[in-house]
Amino acid sequence: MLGCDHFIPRLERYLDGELPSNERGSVERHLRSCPRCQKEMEDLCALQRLLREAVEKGVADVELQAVWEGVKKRLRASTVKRRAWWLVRDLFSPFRPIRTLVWGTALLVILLLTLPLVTSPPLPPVVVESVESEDPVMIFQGEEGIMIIWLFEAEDGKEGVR
Amino acid sequence: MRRTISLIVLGVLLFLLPPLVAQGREMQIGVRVILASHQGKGVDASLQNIQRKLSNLFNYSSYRLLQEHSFLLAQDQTGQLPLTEKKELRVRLLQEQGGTVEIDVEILREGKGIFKTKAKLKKGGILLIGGPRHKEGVLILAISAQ
Repeated sequence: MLGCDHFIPRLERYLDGELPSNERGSVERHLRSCPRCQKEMEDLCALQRLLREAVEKGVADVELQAVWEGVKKRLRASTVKRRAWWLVRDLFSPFRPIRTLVWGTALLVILLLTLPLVTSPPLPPVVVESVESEDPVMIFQGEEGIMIIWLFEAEDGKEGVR
Repeated sequence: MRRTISLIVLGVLLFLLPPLVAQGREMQIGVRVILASHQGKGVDASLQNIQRKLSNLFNYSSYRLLQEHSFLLAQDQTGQLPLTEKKELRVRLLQEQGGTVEIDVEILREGKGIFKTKAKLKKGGILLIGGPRHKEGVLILAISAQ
C-alpha cells in the first residue's frame, strides 16, 4: 500500500496531465480515500488558478520580450559567476592536493619573477657599482645621464707624446 | 594533469628564455678618447655634440678627440684599446639585460692595472672617466652603450 509520500510529489504532474495513464488511476484512487492529499490537491488547484488569473491579467500590460531579455541576462551573469567559482574551487580543492601544489608553486614562481620587475625603481642611465684604484678617485653625477669618475693620477703617470 | 604541467613548464620557459637569448647577443660599446688641456682653445668638430656637456663639467680650454673606437662584444668578451704609449684600456661586457649593459672598465699602465670600475649603462647614458695624465693635459674617456 503506497502512502501520501509517494503520491504528493505526483499531484502536480497529475494536475498538468503529465502522468501516464496507469499512474493517473492509482492517484485518483488514492485521492478518493485520502483527505490529506485532497487538501494538497485543492491547494495546488487554487495556486494554479491564481497564477492563471495573474498571467491573464498582467500579460496585456507587460512587454514579454523585455522581461525575457532581463531573465536571459541574469541567467548569463549567474552562469559566469558560477563557472569562475567552480574553476577556482577545482584548482585549489583539498581533494586534489597534487594539482593544488603544482598550481601554488607555479603562482609562487611567477610572483617571485615578476615582483622585482614591478617593485624595483627604474635604473638611472649610468650606475657605477664599484671602483678600484691606487690613486684617489672622485665620482660625481653630471647632467643628462652622465656619470663622471675622476682619477687623480700621481705626477709620475705623466707621459710624453706617443 | 599532464597538460597542466606542460603549461606551467611553458610559462617558466617564457620567463627564463629572454635572458638566455640575450646572453648570446653582441653589444656595441663606444669609446671616445679625448685630450683635455689648457694648451690652446677650442673643441674638435667631432665633439660638437658633447661640447656643452664637457664645458659645463670641466674648465679646460681645449678638447681634442684623439681616437674613437667601437667594441662589438659578446658576454664575457674583452676589448682592448691602446690609449697612449704606456696606457691601455680594457672593456669587458659582463652582461646585458633589458637594454642595460654591465661592463668592467680597466686602465692599465705598462701592463699593471691602475684603475678598475664596474658600471651599468643604459642606451643614451655616458660614463666619463677622466684624469689619466697625457702630455700637458688629461685623458677623458667617454664610454657609452650603443
